[in-house]
Amino acid sequence: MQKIKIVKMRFAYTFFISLLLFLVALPLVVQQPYILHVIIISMLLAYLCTSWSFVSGYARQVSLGHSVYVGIGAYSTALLYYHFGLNPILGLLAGIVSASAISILISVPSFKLGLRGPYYTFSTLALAEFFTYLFIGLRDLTGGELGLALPFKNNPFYLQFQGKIPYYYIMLSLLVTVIILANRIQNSKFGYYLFAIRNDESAAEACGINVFKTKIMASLLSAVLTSIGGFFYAIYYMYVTPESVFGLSLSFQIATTSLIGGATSWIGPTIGAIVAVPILEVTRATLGGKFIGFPLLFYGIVLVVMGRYLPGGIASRLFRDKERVR
Amino acid sequence: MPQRIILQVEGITKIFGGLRAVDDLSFELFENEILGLIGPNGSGKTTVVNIITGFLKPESGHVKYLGEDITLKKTHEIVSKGIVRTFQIMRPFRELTVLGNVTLGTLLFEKDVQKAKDKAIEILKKVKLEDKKDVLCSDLATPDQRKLELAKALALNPKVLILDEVVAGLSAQETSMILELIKELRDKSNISVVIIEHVVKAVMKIADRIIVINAGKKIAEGKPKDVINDPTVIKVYLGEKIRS
Amino acid sequence: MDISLILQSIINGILLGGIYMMISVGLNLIYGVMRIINYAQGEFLMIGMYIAYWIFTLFGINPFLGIPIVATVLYFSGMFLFNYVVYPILKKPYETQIMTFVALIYILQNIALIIWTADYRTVNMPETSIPVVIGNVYIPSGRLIILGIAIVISLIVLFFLTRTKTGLFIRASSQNPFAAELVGVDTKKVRALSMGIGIALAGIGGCILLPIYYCYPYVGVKLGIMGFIIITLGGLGSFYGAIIGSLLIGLVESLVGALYSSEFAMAIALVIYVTILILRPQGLLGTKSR
Repeated sequence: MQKIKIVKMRFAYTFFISLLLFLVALPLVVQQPYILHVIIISMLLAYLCTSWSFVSGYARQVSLGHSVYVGIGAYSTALLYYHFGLNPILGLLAGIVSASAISILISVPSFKLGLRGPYYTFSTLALAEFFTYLFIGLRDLTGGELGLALPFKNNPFYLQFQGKIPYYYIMLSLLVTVIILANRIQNSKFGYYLFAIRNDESAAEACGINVFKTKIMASLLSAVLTSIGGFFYAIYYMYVTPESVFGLSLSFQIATTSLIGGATSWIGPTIGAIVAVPILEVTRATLGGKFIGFPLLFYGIVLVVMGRYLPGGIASRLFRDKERVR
Repeated sequence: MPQRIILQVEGITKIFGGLRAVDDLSFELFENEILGLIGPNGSGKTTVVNIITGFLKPESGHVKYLGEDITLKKTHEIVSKGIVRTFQIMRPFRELTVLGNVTLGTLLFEKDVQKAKDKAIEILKKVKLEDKKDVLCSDLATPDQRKLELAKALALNPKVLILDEVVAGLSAQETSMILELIKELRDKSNISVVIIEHVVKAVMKIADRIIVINAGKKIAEGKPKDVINDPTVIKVYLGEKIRS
Repeated sequence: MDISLILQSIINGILLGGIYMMISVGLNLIYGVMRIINYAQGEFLMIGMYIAYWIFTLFGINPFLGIPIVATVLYFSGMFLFNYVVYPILKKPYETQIMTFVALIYILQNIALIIWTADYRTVNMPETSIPVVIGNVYIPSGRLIILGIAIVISLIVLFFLTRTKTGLFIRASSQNPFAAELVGVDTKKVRALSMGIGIALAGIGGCILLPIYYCYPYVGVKLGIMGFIIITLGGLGSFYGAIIGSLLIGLVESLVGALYSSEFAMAIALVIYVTILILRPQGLLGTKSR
């Protein structure tokens, strides 16, 4: 029994290294833009899901409105570039600051002692909708529902490149960084404290853990990382609309994909993205107009079945952790 | 040499709806003593613990630790100052192993995870649970869960250890073992212990002093032999054999 | 500022409140008994709306008369859903429960999309535009009927909860499921019942919304979210809180929407929500331990 457990855990590292090597090598062999695009958006989703899992998985403070931070990162970048011609990196920094502020604004009242899970979850939902409406309403600034198309000047200094490959490697670096961060967190004091909070907040408090402060930090960390994902969205697509970055469908996508893969695992959300994106994207592209609705309907059914039979996600079956039940 | 007062509870009152769960209760805990807090079910014992450890705020009164007023402090602050409690209904972190649970405690004082784990193993040895360190808590039997609660409490470097119904449901042999452990802790580690029980026999064996509460009020205080002969106490426990 | 505009907005607000009542009372019932949030409540309203649309279009049955049909269909759907989808996950982790209800959102929205496409659908009921005139104010009679129905149904639910045996069981289960089991209440049946009623109420909300709004697969999204804001405002688990919260939010949304813009109205609702969270997190009528 013991041996099998260890083998399965090592499998997680092997899997990660293999995946990494595969992703690094892929563009040298495959050059079709569409395939690269699907992989880039898979990596973006994996990145967003991993960031989400820090607060919603490890600490069990489930956010159904994480798109708020994607939108903040995306619009900070987009607006500063579109209206003032500023380098996207400045947008990135502005996004990080704004995301931090919003995260604290919503998490401080939600995490007050005595308030339970649903309060935070609603707050995040309502916040995402609020920003969607806000940015649709501020038409002069944001272009309303039609959004902003960012002028492409093919200037690498502005992170604008011809072809997909540079974006591919940028996204890959971001993803790898966040996965390694996830692994480090799980093996750190902060990570242990998050899992304690996930299991039993009062008992965690009785272990000397400052539950309120820890939850705020998790929320902050997750928000900042997610906003960086939003920054990438803006520089990659060069087109930002309120619905696409702030919308609930993105929030739900992030949450459900992470849970499919396993939100308490450092590699789980990535697995979720690997499974979900190609399937959804490919069925959407091939089935097209007449079968619209079927992919997501199927997705919903899969979620219901998984929730009942595999609540810990794919990672809980694939990788057994010696120290934690998934 | 007069003993130092470690914990001072002064006139605390706690009201739930219309019910006075704790009514103007005062007592002291001296350094290095084992203090028994007994009373029938529902007399307010756990409420007192919740107030001391910051889970509840009293309507009036104070709790002082080494002279410092801790009445309104948050639980995690109180814990880091050295007052640790176990839970009557055991609350292990179910998704973690035995080792993981105790490590959560040692992490309070040791940031390095590996070192915290090593310290946790030392503590598990003290309660004789180290062979089960990789077992998931959901798979543990009751006596082992009790030992785990104790281990988690020890991991937090307590100066005051409050044990809430720690021997309930255990066999005689298991009970003696836990009681021996507690005595050893007091003797070797300079910990002051408050042991809360509604089963009097267990407390009689190790307590230096006993306090009896009923309906939130203190009705007797003193050495074990004196307390069990107190007529008010006998009346409260009418029907139960308390002479061993 | 035109007095009649303000009066109109107030009437509209109370009316909107009536519709919100159907959503939030249902949500509250489900939360009270099972301690879980039905994130798909808005989607059930949408389904109710479609059912009402089709019975009107195919059989000429007026949506108001169609209420019993919609309610029945959704009631049994709710019980079915409880037994096969919700009951299995009641003991599962919090995030799994959320995932299941979000899954229901995907399923319902996309079933609607596949079967009925994304086209907006409205019904034309000219008789509902006949205005009732009070002084300077013209109120379309349809709106008054809607408000009347919402009030009547809320009263029926209140009566049911407080005066019938089953209602008593429901309230007992929501206060203390363990104790309720001990005294012989079949909590599984009670929960199935609550789910059925909760969803039926959402469906009724859709029925009565149809005459004055348009139906499409995503109509439930914003309404559902307002539902969550309302039950938090009113107090999770409090029936009266849901009623009062619905009226309050309906009024605010209507007034702000008339005076400024509908987007601003949503923003104000959110500000109210956050303020409540900070100042009185248990909501207006909630209890601290809830």
